Amino acid sequence: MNETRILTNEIYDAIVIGSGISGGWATKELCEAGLKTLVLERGRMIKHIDDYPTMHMDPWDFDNRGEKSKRILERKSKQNRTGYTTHPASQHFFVDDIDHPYNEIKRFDWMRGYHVGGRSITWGRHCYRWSAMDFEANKKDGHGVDWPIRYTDISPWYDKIEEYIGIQGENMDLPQLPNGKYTTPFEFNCVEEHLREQIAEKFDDRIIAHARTAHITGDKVHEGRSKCQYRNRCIRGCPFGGYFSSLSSTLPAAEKTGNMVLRPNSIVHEIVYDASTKLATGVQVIDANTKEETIYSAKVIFGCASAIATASILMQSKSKRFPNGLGNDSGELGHNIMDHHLGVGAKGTAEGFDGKYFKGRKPAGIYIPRFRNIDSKTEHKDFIRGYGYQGGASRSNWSRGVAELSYGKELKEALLKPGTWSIGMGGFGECLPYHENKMTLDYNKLDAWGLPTVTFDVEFKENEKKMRKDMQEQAVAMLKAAGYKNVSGFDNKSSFFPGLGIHEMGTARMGRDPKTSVLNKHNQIHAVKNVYITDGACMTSAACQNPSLTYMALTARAVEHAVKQLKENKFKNA
Amino acid sequence: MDRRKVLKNMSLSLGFAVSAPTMLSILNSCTSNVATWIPSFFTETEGHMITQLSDIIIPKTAIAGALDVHVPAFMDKMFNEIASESQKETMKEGATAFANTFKNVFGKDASAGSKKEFETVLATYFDVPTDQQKQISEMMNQNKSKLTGKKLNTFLIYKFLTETRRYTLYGYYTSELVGETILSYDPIPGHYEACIPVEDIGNAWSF
Ligand SMILES: Cc1cc2nc3c(=O)[nH]c(=O)nc-3n(C[C@H](O)[C@H](O)[C@H](O)COP(=O)(O)OP(=O)(O)OC[C@H]3O[C@@H](n4cnc5c(N)ncnc54)[C@H](O)[C@@H]3O)c2cc1C
Ligand code: SF4
Repeated sequence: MNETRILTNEIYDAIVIGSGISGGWATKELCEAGLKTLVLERGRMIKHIDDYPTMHMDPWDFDNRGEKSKRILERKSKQNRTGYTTHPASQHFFVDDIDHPYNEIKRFDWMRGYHVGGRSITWGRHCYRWSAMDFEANKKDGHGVDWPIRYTDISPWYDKIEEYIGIQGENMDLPQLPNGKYTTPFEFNCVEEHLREQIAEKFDDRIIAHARTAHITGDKVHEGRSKCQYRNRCIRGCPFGGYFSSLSSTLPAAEKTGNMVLRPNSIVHEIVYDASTKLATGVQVIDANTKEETIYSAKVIFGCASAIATASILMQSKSKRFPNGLGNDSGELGHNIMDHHLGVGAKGTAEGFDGKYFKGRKPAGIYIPRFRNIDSKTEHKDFIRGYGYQGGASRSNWSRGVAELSYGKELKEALLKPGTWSIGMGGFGECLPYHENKMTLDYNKLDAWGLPTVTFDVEFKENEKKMRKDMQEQAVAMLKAAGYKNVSGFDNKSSFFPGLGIHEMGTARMGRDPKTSVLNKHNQIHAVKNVYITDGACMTSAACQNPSLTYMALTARAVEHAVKQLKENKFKNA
Repeated sequence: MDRRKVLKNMSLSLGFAVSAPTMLSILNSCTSNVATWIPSFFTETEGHMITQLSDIIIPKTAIAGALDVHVPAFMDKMFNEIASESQKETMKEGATAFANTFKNVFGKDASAGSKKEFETVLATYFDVPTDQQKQISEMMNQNKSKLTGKKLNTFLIYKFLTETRRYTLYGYYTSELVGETILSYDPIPGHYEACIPVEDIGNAWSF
């Protein structure tokens, strides 16, 4: 290690690594509890509103109408695997793959942004609670290890998060998708409403629900934010704070307490362990710009750098006591990587609605909650666990005319009119925790800061494959039953790679037994009690719901625990 | 030039007979102001070709046309900065094949071609019955390297024309003028109306 490291004198109450969705929540809760909190973020500073350069740009304001430049495609070839995040509207919120390389024994799409706010700026904002059956699934079918918590442990925290961030949606009283604290949902457009009616009439095992997303509707006041204005440009950053991000919500709240110190450009690469107290004393940081090394000390540390980055920091934190990485007595650190598989579903066109249109661009559509393997009636013979769908309906634009050979006045005028209604849905499927789905560190391939790079060896397996078949078939069946035309299923082979769901998780799972898990029921490392890991690394199973709401709830819950421990003077590390 | 001769020449170059009504369907054109631009990816002659063609594909009427929003310059820039190498190559080869056919048919260089003459050529390739359209799209899905002679020539001309058509639509409907003043424009809607009569809005939303 570098000889010139600086040891700062100040001892913070808490350090939070990362300022994304989970780091933002950890910071707000710690600061509001009165703890002096240092937030270390590896990326650059992003200021809410000021640093959303594309938020007001129309298609014609972009160079070449927003086509990706050759430079973007060269620098961000892996980030481009989503196809859309690298659009000039949002590419600046995704990493440069040449500056931030990783290795793939099997293809893994590690989609991320390094800057203050992390992926809270660009996320899709879908927020679904996990249900009691999700926390019991591993125990029931024997995959992975049992969760050390149950739905009742987390539900009050879901309440808290939902009320604070603002989620539009509707309670549907489903055991597999618990009710929450929702504000008025975005209305269905006429074709979505038609689908809802048709599914209600033709199926008794499934429903069309409103997507539940972190957008403000209704009149509740959220400080510094206002209602969604229906622009559907959220991924660029919202000038109205209409959707939840660390920048619009949690970091300003933390800042207001006067207890937050936010240090961007600070790459944490090690947590420092003291064998005499069996506690961590601080973290080691490289300044991203100057490459200067500093050690910051704190009484408690929150790992919120996201599942892969957090595991990488723990793996780099080697000591005599932990030769295989901090807290890795079980050998599970970096294993059990999960994601959701997607890119499979169906689409069709709706006739009879040509006279109908809408005003405003709502940033969310429909959600079809899981309907497989919920009880004995819904058991599927080929696979375990389940999936949900997200989707929506809209009218096609001028591009519908591209495949034809027509030309002239009639063509021009026809394409100025709204086109056919189309409706589609794409599945999000659960992935099981497989021990052999893992990441390792390559110390022969170092990055620009001299740190080891991550190597992925992860794949989806048989259960996911079989589930996928059903995901496509059921999507087709629903659209056909609803009477749509030109119904076609899709199963995009190039989407069937872990990472692309951007819900990577599981690298330092929670569990009841220190021999088979890294974290306990409070998100503490079993053997290093003042280190809490509350990002996706902690997840014991993946369910099929988008996970960030659960990270937030677990984070707030863990902070309450940590604050109590500090008050009781449990962490005598300094 | 005598119409029968044009017909014959066209049929030869196409590999199938051209119907007389096609040849007669010559549009009543209305000329746009052609902005001056200096082609860079395209040659001067090709620049003239895509200018004429885009003006025919999206003509100026009471509503602005392709040339009012500078589609040729847009195309030139897109081919320079965005198109892949193979897309560029095919476009260039297609333009050459088109220019050669033009010369064969009309006995003059495409750079001197009139709007009417371009209309005649475009009609020949685009005003085809539905079953033939299917054949054409199958033909265009073939691998270029497997084609030779007349087949290759037809393939290239269709590539050139359909690319020109595609970029004309793209450049036109995503332009500022069309997006803000012709399509329905509403950058900050403020609220959502889920299901309303289409007449309340008029033209499609620009995005
Ligand atoms: C396009 C897109 C759509 C998505 N849609 C949804 C959705 O609809 N619903 C949902 O639930 N989830 C969605 N997600 C996933 C969601 O964004 C993540 O689950 C969530 O952001 C994870 O939160 P996090 O705090 O763990 O990580 P992040 O938000 O990624 O934040 C981690 C932060 O840590 C920083 N960091 C990393 N390494 C270090 C280090 N060594 N030192 C210091 N700092 C470090 C990073 O720079 C980053 O700022 C989506 C993601 C994307 C990109
Ligand atoms: S849709 Fe709503 S939240 Fe998204 S950018 Fe627009 S106003 Fe903001």
